[in-house]
Amino acid sequence: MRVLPDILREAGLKHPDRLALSDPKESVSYRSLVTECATIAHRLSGMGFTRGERAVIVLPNSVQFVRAHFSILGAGGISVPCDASITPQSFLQIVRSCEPRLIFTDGAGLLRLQSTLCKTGITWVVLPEPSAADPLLSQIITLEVLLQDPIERFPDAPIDPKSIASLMYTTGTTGQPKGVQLTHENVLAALRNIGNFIGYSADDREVVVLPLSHNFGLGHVYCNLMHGGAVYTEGGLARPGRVLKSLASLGATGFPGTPLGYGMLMDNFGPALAECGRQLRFIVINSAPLPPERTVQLQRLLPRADIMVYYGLTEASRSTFISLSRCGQKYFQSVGRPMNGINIQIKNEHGANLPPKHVGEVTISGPTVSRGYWRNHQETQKNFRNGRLHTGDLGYLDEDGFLFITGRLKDAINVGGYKVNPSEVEEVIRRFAGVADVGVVGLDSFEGLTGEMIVAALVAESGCLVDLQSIERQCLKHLEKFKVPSRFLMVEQIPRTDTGKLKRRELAEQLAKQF
Amino acid sequence: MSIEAKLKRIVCETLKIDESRYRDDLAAGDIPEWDSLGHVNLLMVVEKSFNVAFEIGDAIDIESVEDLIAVLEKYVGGLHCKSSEAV
Repeated sequence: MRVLPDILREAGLKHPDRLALSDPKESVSYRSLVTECATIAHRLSGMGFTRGERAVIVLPNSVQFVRAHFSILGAGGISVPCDASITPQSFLQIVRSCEPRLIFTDGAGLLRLQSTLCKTGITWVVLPEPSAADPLLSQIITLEVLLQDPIERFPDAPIDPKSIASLMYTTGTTGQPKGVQLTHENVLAALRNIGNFIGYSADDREVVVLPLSHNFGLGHVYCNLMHGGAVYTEGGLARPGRVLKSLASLGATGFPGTPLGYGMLMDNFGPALAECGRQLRFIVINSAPLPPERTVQLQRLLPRADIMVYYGLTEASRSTFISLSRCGQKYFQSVGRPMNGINIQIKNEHGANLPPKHVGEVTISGPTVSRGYWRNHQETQKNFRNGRLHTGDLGYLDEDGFLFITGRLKDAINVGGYKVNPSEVEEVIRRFAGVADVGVVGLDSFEGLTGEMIVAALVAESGCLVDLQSIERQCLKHLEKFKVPSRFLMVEQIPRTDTGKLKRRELAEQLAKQF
Repeated sequence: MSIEAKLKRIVCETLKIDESRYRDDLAAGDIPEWDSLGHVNLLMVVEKSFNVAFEIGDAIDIESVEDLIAVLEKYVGGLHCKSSEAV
């Protein structure tokens, strides 16, 4: 396999009649999926969509999403997946950055974005079915039209493996979206590593509710298609019952998720998760640290499942992997060892390598690492230096090469010259009974002496009263005094990304208003 | 107050949506406010307000306002009701 459309090309030849994808509305075999994607790819080329041009996808998790993605790739274009609920403002930022020629969306997306679409240079809007909405300057074309006169093979013109396949915009936890450029080679190198570690086969079936607009979710779709497996997808866990039932009905062997999602399922639907997921062979968890007690709880519920976590930024895909089930409790807080071809070095502030057990910035090089951000020289230069991605994450390697992440470089709170890692404080507070969620930030100290003061925002579990004084005492017991928050506040919700990452800047802005 | 009327108030208050967005066929995932956490929260508030405890088999079948009404009709005043003053 040299380029991503080869995944479908080969699976279509090997497993034409096997189920490839399904969602609540439709199911497709590999034969159908290849034919549909190839047909649309030819049509796009015929419409003047040329190599290297960008096409945005604003669709919920669905067969339609995957069809759109591979059609764009098959035409030699660059796919730009966006969150289905993207706001017009964020959409405009992304579109102004990547200047797409067309957009794949649906009626709901069009309704939300139509006033923005006329401010862009998008020529074509591809919809699954006709819509009454009028995007003014763009032309609407339906899938029905694109799928007329099926063609079984992707366009023959070769695609350069070093060319960009996707721009994955990371809103991350701060700032303007940056388009991470991922080449066909980048993605395929990552997929080979993941495939080897998990041991995917044509017998695997996964339920993917993680957003396909992120590498985590999309990666699981790629992996299954690459090995002839099947994927059921829907957007999120808003309907936990339907998702759990799909685990049972599909005979799912994999169910990737976030600590937040698994926490919600275990706390509210534990017996159903155990029953519907009893055949699960592996569970990959990412986006935030999985607390050790949650690992134990999950393993008890699903004793046959191999629980894995990995470390990976969009810029570098999965860089380390670990099976917590196989490595045991000693490594429950590790994110594993580097994947094949990946080199991880821990650097100090002067760029020198640090020995094992010394905390510094995690840097990564290897075939999965992006070449930088789309048309953003400044951010590329800042984060990609001397052939290495500087992640901004703090961590250390142990003597056996296992990586442990301890926090974010730029999140460090400066308390009178002492650097405090907010993740460490959150970890202590999270252990307190009745605390459902916590976020710790640094705010300018109005007392004027300490530079920043530490503020902890807490969400109580439903029906629980949290005694803030007891939490403060717990912090004093487990943390140095300068790390103990000056203020503890109860809030209704901690702002997080849809994959569960804490939006620390947004939280800080919210909390600052209260002082 | 009927189950439907009480439920309407609970759904709007819990999901923090205007009554104009409420429909009998409103379902999880239809609006951003009814996401996974909103769903779990809604079930808990409904249980507390109607003084019932859904069995897990019933809880996983609930996806919409219509489902909630159907399940509540089964529970309220029935075997699953914690108190005769449920409604």
